Amino acid sequence: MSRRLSVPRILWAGLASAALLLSGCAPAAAPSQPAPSAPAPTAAPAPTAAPAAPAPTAAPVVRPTATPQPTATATPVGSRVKKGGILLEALWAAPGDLDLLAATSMISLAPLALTYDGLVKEDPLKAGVIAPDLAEKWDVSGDGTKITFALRKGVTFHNGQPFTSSDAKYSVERWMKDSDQLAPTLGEVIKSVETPDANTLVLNLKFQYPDLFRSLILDWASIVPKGQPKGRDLKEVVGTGAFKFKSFESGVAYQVVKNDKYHNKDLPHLDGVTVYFLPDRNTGLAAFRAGRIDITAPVYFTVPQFKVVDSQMKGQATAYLYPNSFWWNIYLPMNKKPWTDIRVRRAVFMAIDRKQAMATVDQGLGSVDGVMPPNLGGYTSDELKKVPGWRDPKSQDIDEAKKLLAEAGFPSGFKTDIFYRTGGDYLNMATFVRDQLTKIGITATLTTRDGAAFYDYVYARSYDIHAHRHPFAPASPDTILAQYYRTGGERNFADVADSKLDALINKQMGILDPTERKKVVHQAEQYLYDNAEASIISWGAYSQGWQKWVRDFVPGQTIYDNLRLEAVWLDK
Amino acid sequence: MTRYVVSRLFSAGLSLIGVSIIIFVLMQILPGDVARTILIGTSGEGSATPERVAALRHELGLDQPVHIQYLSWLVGLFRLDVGRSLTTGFPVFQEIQNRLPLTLELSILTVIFGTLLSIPMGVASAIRQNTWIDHLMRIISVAGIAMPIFWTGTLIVLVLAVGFHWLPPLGYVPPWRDPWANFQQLIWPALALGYYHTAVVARMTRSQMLEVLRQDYVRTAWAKGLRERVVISRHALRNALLPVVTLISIQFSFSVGGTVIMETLFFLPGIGKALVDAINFKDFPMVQTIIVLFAALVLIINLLTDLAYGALDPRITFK
Repeated sequence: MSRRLSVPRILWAGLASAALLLSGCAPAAAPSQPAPSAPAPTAAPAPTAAPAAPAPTAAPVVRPTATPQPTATATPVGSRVKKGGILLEALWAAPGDLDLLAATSMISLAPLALTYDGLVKEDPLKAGVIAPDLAEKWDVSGDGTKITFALRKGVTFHNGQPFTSSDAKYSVERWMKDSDQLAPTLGEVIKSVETPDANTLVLNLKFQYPDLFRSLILDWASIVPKGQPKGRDLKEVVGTGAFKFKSFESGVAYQVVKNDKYHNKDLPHLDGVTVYFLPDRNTGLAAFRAGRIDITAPVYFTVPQFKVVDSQMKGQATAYLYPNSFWWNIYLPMNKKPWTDIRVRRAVFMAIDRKQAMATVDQGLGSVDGVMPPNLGGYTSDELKKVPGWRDPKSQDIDEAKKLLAEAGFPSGFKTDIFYRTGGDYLNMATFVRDQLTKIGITATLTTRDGAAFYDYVYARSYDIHAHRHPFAPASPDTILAQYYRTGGERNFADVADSKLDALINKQMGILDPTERKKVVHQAEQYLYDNAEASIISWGAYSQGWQKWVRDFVPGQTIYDNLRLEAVWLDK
Repeated sequence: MTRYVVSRLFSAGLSLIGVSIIIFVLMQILPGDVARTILIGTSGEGSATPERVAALRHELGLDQPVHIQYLSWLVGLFRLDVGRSLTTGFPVFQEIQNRLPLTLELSILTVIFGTLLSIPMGVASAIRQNTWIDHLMRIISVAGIAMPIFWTGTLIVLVLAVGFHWLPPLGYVPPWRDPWANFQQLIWPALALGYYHTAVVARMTRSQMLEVLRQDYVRTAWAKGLRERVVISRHALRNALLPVVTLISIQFSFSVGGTVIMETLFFLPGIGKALVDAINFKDFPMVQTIIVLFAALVLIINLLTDLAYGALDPRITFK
């Protein structure tokens, strides 16, 4: 039996109401301009603030020019800037605590640096130029081992406490002891810190150090109030910077607002900055395309995302590449067989086709520089062509690598394992290295670990080969030589322990003359190649994006510079 | 009935302690050191000297014996203070308090949205069996089951961002602060989650309705000359709903899990996202507390579902 049934009206009503629910929240139409949530600027446009005039720099900073970049120009003096507005920034994770001086990574640096000043800074409108900050001027002694800073008077912290030389001393001593990036160098270089009076700070160095000011402009070298709690005990961010701490909600956002008592009366232009923690970078890109994000932190965009912004948002946004901002390495633990044999290490390094690595894994956005990029005194590309592993045609490297393996007792190669971190493009590089090694008969399997487990394996050296990339800062030879290749270096993942190399590394640290220093850096670099201790594969470029209405943002020399955004304004 | 509820709650308490022990053991077995991960950072920029790792482990209380760590967490649970998240440094209960309303709202919205669509779809499909309405509803529901939630969610984000150059405001605004902003933020993930929910429940409703419509008592109702609306909604639908209610309760529990994906895709700071982050960092106080909370939610939903049977079917009694 069948009976024709009609659909009761109540059921149709249910369907209709659900449909109505959906239609009611659809965007009415594609807006011609994205609708940001930041309030529109209300204040009348004011004349451009003239940032403090840069003083003569003790150590000029060289700007890398390897990769063509979109130009980021500052507003000409005399033109007008718009005051007000909240800048919305995207970062991929939240800091674990509020202690900038103990910060180890960008996730802490990008939000926390907004609230601080340093002794000196990178000019926010002229990348690579050192400018005064809380130190108005400074004097370097004839032998370069005593630097006297005249500190700015009348500056107060956000809690009203006056800034004095004792705060600066406390901060410097913390940099020397607690800072992940600064302690290895400043802790080694600075002998003592003196405060002859409330407005003078003296740094006595053990030896003249050419990269001292390069280190001091990093946002890690921020000034905090004396006695400020450390680590997780720090509950309130108090600096002297252009912005004051407003709120921090883990997993959501970090907010700062304008410091009305900032020592540069013309800055900042913005009413505040909100840093959103957007771990899913595709969501971040979507928010950027929809205009919900004004600027990303450096490192935020991946290579494919950079290409999307660069190609599909032309005229709407800028996608910027930081040249040589990370490097791919292949670490072979040198005290573990078969890597104890220099011939086997050399064979592996020679087998890698670096041009191909850059072209495939980094999709052409990088360089095939050696251990030291040319701007840091390393070999130029012409000089590198003579170094085994970089030679053309590649076949001669492969033939020689096979011979070396045969001499080492592995005429048919051997089996090994390549360890890599889960996620990102690490798999791509691990796969690439595996394929390269097959050319000389080495058969590798791939092993991966995720999250917390990954670092356990790395620090226990529980791998045969470790393919990894590391961000790079500051722009100093020490960052590479002292941290990655000196005995006991914090990032010496291949366990290089070579007294001759250590001597060269230590020697270059004390040479002020750039030409003389370059010679020693060259010697160290050549030594690394000769002894098959260089782990470099290729260099890559992290990227950052900002909308066309973000003005007077000039990318710093490295990803860790110029994060304070005090000169930025919104042209909306 | 009171005795039944009390005994169910007692057994639920035991289940929760069992769940917490299992999770704790699993977290201990997992390789990885949260202190080292915090120091190095998610991008691997930092370094972790043994001294710094040891100092942080001490600060986080990770150098205490394992059973002490568990017991202090359990005692803290009864005192509603399980300490701070190892990774964010915020009190765990504060984190949950901030995030739970969003996840619950999203889950409830998903179930409301899905139920509002699925039951009419299922009924319409059944009473118009083998007509174009039935075919259309079946295509919609099969597509809903076939499309993964993350794919539907990604598609919505892409269409909004690329097609309309629009996305909801970032973050989460509670409904009592700005209902319209809240609605804009949650409706899209609820739509993506709710579509799957709709598909599953609509299919179940259809099959149940087809079965019930062939029962003798429905035939009798037609023979008595009752109006169609009465036969369908009072006699057929009410009896067909019993397994559907069970399915809806299961789907609710499922949607709590599904929010993890939606929270990530739509940048919603809910509890699901916090759980994933905590697992990645081996943040055991956070993981354990959230899992116990999820387990408690599932147990409560199951209890409510069982109680709902009594309301729907007078033959069911609780002893």
